[in-house]
Amino acid sequence: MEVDDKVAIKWFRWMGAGGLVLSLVVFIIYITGLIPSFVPPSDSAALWSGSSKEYLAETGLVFTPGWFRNITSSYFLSTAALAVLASTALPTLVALGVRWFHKREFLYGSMALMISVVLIVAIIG
Amino acid sequence: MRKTIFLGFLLLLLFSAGVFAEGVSENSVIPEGMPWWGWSLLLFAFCFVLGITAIVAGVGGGILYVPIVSAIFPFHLDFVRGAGLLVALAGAVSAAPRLLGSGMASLRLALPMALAGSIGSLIGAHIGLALPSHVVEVSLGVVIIFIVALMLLAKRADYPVVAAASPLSFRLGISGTYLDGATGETVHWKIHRLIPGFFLFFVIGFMAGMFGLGAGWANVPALNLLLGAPLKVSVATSILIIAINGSAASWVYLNQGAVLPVIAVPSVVGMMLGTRIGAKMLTRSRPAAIRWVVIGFLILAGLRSLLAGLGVL
Repeated sequence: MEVDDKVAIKWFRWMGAGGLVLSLVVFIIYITGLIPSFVPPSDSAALWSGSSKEYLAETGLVFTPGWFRNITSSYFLSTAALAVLASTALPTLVALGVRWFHKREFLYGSMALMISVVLIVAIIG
Repeated sequence: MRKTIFLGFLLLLLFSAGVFAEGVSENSVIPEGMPWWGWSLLLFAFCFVLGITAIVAGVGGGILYVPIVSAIFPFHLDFVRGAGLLVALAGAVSAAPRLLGSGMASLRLALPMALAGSIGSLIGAHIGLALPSHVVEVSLGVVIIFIVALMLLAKRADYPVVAAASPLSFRLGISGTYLDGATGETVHWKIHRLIPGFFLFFVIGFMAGMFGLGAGWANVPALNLLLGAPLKVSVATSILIIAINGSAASWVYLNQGAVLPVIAVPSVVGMMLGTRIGAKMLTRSRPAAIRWVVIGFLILAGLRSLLAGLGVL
């Protein structure tokens, strides 16, 4: 196994498992109401048949860039935990990119960097 | 096996914990008459079974999730697609370390394709959320029926013949060696047609982002038949590509409020537990029969989506 593979394995394993466990723990906090939520599960369920735009209009939720900082609400906290899972590829690619640039494999380093930029654009929204 | 079943049972109990904490208020009952936690519990159980079925049938869980859940559950397609992307992503992230460790998945093959795919999925997700629902439903129906046709008709080559690696793939060092456990032979592989593959992966990423589907149904034939990677390398590398591409599209859905925790978390956890059980059942099951059942479900779900989008249902 190449060292590059080991780097990717480490990040995929930690971020994937961490994101999943975090999502589950925070979800339990959300559904049990341990931390107040802007939108309780019951209200969320009453609106899940409508589109996401209707959902946001009815609940008054605002997903502006940087919404994930608003984690005092368990709704956002639960969504942010899912975001950790969704972000697994980013640290993996950054770690690989740094390694490839260090090894003077500029083509792969640039590709890892470009994908990271695409992911950051998606995250910033 | 017992540990996983116990964990599944424990999670079923945990998902129902909300009702004991909050009580069943008038608001907690959705129009269909079932309380929200009942739907979440049902979704968890359904995804658990779907995870087992997907593995045994040799189909990605992501491709089954969106058409079948949108056909059965009362959720809007926006939320099903958002959860579908996370389901596909979580499954891929969980499998990627094992596949990289076995030497089947190739980072060097995945990276150029993931670059094209992640740009495509970012654009596809934005367009998918901007389009009217009925247009997405009709398109999804057409895509699902196309995927079924692809599953039925596409040939696969265990070891495609690549006479010479393309100059670009040679320059990028995209080649590899792995030990095939089935034959005991060491397989050396290289690829060709990298540039057409790059454009094809953009289109695949676009469709995956737009419809919230895992893209294994298209990644594998593209890697295997177009680029000439061996089948096992194609399957493993496809999962690596999904683990990267799914991130970009998932964030678009997250940023537009199209990921509901009450749908996404039970789906992801149920599917992941199901795929673990399915992997253990694989040796004792009859994949061919289950595969036909899955294909039947997909045809029905595709037709339902098409007809619903056209206003017939």
